[in-house]
Amino acid sequence: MYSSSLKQTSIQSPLSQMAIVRPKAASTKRTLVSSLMLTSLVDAFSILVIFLLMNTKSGIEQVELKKINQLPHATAMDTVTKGIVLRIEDNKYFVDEVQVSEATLAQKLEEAKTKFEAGTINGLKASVIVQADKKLDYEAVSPILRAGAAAGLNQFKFAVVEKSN
Amino acid sequence: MISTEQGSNKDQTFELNLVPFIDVLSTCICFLLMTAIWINVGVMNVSQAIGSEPPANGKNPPSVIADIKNDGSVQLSLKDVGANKKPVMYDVRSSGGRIDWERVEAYVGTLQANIPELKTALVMPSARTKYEDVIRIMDMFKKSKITDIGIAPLTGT
Repeated sequence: MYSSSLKQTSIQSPLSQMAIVRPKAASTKRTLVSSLMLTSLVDAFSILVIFLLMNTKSGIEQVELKKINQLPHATAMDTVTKGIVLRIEDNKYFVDEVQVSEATLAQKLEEAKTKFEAGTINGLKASVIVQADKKLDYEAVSPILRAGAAAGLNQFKFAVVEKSN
Repeated sequence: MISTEQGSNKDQTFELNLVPFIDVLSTCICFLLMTAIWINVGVMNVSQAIGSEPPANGKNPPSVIADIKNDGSVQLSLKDVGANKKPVMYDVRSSGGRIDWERVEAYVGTLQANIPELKTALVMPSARTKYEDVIRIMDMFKKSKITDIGIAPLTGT
């Protein structure tokens, strides 16, 4: 036989049960319902889950997490989109995580551009996402612009971290 | 009156057992909190001109050029503004070997108010200019609603 879970979880008042003159433990009358209102708790948890899911960054995987602290700061920035990731680390260049020399940078970028544009359906133009240490001299960044121009790439995206005001 | 449960006193109301729901949601929250990335990473877009295409109407749009020298001084020059064909120069001397950001920011901040049609900027860093300084000046231009920003590569590299 079915019985309501609310009724199952109802308890009697401990003070009434311990009364000597007229203990209520013997009677069937119940005085206090201790069931928690779990619905509001579920609502709150659902809102939290939705908020956290909405805050999940989709483009963050383009930027290597361990390098985030070294990126320069900016306030007027755009969202990260897909592109050819070019990273400078210890004056070495990495195109899509493969180390390349400065002499072959243009060639590798052209190959990566062809591969990227072949893989897109809506004719999305390839762009270069540059990840470099903020303390780097510009002379290390300049060859990327030259190589990009030689490879026919004119869109450059410099990865930055949002500056908190 | 027809009743399918004639004579029964069964309670038709029932309550869902919400404890498993709470367990699942708690697990979800823990997972999302632990995997959440609280640093906002973005990009600074730069469109480089390839080749030298002449402007469509034969007139160059107004532009500002920021020439950052190795000693930290910045020369800002306005080109093709109004009828004035001669570039308007503004020099910001370095402060202790570093860029005087307050003066640069003050000047860049007035550009949009004085020349609303100004949308193009070119940054010309030197070999020893720090990458963060290049990004900072580009950020200033972006904040001043100058959207078409380019960077000049070093000559002879």
